[in-house]
Amino acid sequence: MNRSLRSYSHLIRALFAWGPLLGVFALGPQLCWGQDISLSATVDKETVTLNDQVMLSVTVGGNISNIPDPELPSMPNFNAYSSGRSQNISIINGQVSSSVVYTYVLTPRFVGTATLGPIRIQVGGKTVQTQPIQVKVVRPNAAVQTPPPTAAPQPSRSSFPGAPDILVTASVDKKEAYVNEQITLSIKFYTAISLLGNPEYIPPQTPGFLSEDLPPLRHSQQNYKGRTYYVTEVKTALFGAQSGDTTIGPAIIRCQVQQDFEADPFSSDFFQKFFSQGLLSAQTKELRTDPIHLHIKPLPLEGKPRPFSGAVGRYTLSTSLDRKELKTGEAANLTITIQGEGNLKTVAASEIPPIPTLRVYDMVPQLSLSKEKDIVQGSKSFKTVLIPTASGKIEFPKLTFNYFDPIAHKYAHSSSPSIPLTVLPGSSSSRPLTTPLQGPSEVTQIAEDIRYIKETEYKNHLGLALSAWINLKIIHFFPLILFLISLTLSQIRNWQEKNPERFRFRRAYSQALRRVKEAGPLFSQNPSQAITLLSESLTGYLSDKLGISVSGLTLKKLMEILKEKSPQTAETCAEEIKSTWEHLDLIRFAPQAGPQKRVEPALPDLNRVPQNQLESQENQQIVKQIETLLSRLEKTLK
Amino acid sequence: MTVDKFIEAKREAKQVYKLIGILLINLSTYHLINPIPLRGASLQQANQQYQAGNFGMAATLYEELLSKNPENPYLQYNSGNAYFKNGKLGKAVVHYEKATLLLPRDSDIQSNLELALKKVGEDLIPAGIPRVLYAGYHLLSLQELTALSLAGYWISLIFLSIYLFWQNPGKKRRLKPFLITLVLAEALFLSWWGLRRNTSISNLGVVLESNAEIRSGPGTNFTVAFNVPEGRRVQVIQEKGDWLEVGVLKEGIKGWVSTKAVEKI
Repeated sequence: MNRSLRSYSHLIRALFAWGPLLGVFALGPQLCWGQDISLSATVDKETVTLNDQVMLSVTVGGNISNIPDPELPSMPNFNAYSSGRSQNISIINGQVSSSVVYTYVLTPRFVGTATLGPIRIQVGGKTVQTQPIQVKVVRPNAAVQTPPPTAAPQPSRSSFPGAPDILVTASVDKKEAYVNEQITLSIKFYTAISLLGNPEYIPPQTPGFLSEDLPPLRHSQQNYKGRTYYVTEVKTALFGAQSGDTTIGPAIIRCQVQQDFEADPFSSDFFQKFFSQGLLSAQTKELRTDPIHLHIKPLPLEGKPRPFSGAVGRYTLSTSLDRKELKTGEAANLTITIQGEGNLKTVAASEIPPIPTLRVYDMVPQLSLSKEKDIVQGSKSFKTVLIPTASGKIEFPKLTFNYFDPIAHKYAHSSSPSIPLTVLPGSSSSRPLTTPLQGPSEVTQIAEDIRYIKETEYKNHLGLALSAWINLKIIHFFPLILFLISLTLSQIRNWQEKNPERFRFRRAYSQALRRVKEAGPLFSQNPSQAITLLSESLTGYLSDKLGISVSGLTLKKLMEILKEKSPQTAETCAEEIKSTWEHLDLIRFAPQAGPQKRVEPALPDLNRVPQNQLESQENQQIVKQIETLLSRLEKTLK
Repeated sequence: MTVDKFIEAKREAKQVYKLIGILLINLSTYHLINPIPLRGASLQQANQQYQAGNFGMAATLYEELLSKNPENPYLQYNSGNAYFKNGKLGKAVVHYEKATLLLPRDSDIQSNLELALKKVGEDLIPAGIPRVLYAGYHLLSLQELTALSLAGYWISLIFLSIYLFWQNPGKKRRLKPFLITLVLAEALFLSWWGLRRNTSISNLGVVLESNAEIRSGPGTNFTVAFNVPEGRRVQVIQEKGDWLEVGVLKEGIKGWVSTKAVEKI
């Protein structure tokens, strides 16, 4: 019985133990093609021992940019853990194709033949799947003779009253972390007794975290309260997605243990119990860990660089070009690699600034993770194709990757140097492959750049003329002055039209004087017209001043009106007006009488001078007389 | 020597002195007549530096030429090109703006200004304004608008004077529609001129520093409210010591910036 029990418990304990890698490697891939996508799955061995593990690789390839994740089927015979994802790209004739390899670690739970798959993916409403893979799980000694792992001692329960037979604990390496900083969760399953079958592990709920498995399972022996336990440890890396307080739920382990059974060989039902112990004495136990409370701190706002994609950890950036000299239309492969510790899955590539003569295609990421010392690390490469569109020397610019260093509690950056690129003129056939087909008459813009300098001297004759015109300064007042004059004249004219009598009154003296001056020169040529002008000057003046019509005006009537309208004038100038009026009438209407005779009483000395001289003096005398009269009248009639 | 010969010799000597005098005057005024200086930068040298890809040196030479002739739109344009190629978008926008003011219908200047502004995240033509309307508004330079406004002022006042002077009602009636059109056109030109003068010259500035800090007040003791990238155009509202109150045209926000960080057009 002891031998049988020892063998059985050994098998159960070996369930979690790592053994040497044995078996058959790398089966032919089970390939399946979709319309634009292929899916294949391989395992590294077809036969595996209970204490070993199988590496399952699922490869998804195709010429589509967003490759979906495969759907793993239910695998009751295995515990499955994700071990990473890597991506490859290839560009053939301008067609970008990529493949992603998903790696899973499978640890067997039961002996027997298990079927993996089919593994499916959904692409454009269609399902692509692999062929199922058969994996045989055998007992460790059935596959190959290997030294079994050190078995835990079989302590008696009664010897350690404070120490349970089995227990499970959960712990984290830190209770407080920044957003996207790694927290390592460790679940330890302690067992000091034989288990019946493989335990079932239900990982804890981790809301608000991105998790990353940290295989492999660790096995060790530890003492707890004086009792030796066989310990299996599962580690998971957690990355907080948002700040705040959060809780990791309990991890659950269900296992079957043997019920207390005292084998009394002398008991009546000893044989019944002995042969049925494997089935009838099993008891299912469920163990839960305590929830763990964590505080996720937000990243500091101070010193936050731009651009910042949220990377937390420690990284270095490098860039490489596979060729430094090429022709226009030819492609150069650019690889931007970000390497370091942190959640590389969420790391985004540095932004490439626009380069006018360089066409940059979409980037294809390739992730390579390693979890050495339980720290998620590795590299993420972003591959793209650069196609120069114009010849010349191009400098691929320096790139900078900004991240937050949680150990130094500050933002940091890593930069890559600029890369010079020489582009030679290419043939017309080496146009960018993705340039849409266009007719021969159409123009295709290759790059956007400023227009060339102006090499000639600037001659601006119009500008000079305009400048001279603007700088005339005072001359620009001329139209204003002209306008003001016109406006004034216009106003005067309007006033005249509205007040004719007043206008005649004001203008009377100047009009009369004008006529008198016109009459002077006329005496020698046309004496009668001169006299008429003199007469008109007097009558016109008086009619304008008194506001009466000149037609039909007689001396008598004039004197009456004068007496009525200006008695003072009538008193002082009446006689003079009368004599002058009559004198002028005499000259005008009695031409036979010489002027010298008519004016004789007034000019007695003129008889002694010659005739023509006498006439001239007489004329001047008359003009003077009229002027004097008008002057006197103007003073009184104002 | 006879008296006649003496007089003739004296006359010839006078002519020689006259020629020497003219020559000396010409030499002394040579630098005023010739626009290209004998020493210092020349347009050809600056252009050669630009062609050779020495954009920094080309920009320096263009600036030297501009210090003597700032109203030359070609020099402003070339200087903008040199700064653009040298990666100094702020200075490039400054020179393109100055060139546009001097020569608004030049398609090269317009194109380069538009591209430079595009690089700094700004549109030459504000959103919502049709390109035709923008082009019409900027069709004439300020000098041309001034000259046209003056011409309109002359013609309007002369015809107005004639209208007032004429007494014949028939002639006045015929002249009236023409006169109204003239006065309205002059009012349009004056409004256009006034708008352009007050919107495009007096208060436009360009950010010269990369991510210039715009603060909430005129001093470093005020907090940085936002950053403005190099090359963005701002409206200068007021000046206080070494600080300018500016409004960012595109985003419609305002704050205070050091005078060193902004160059007024």
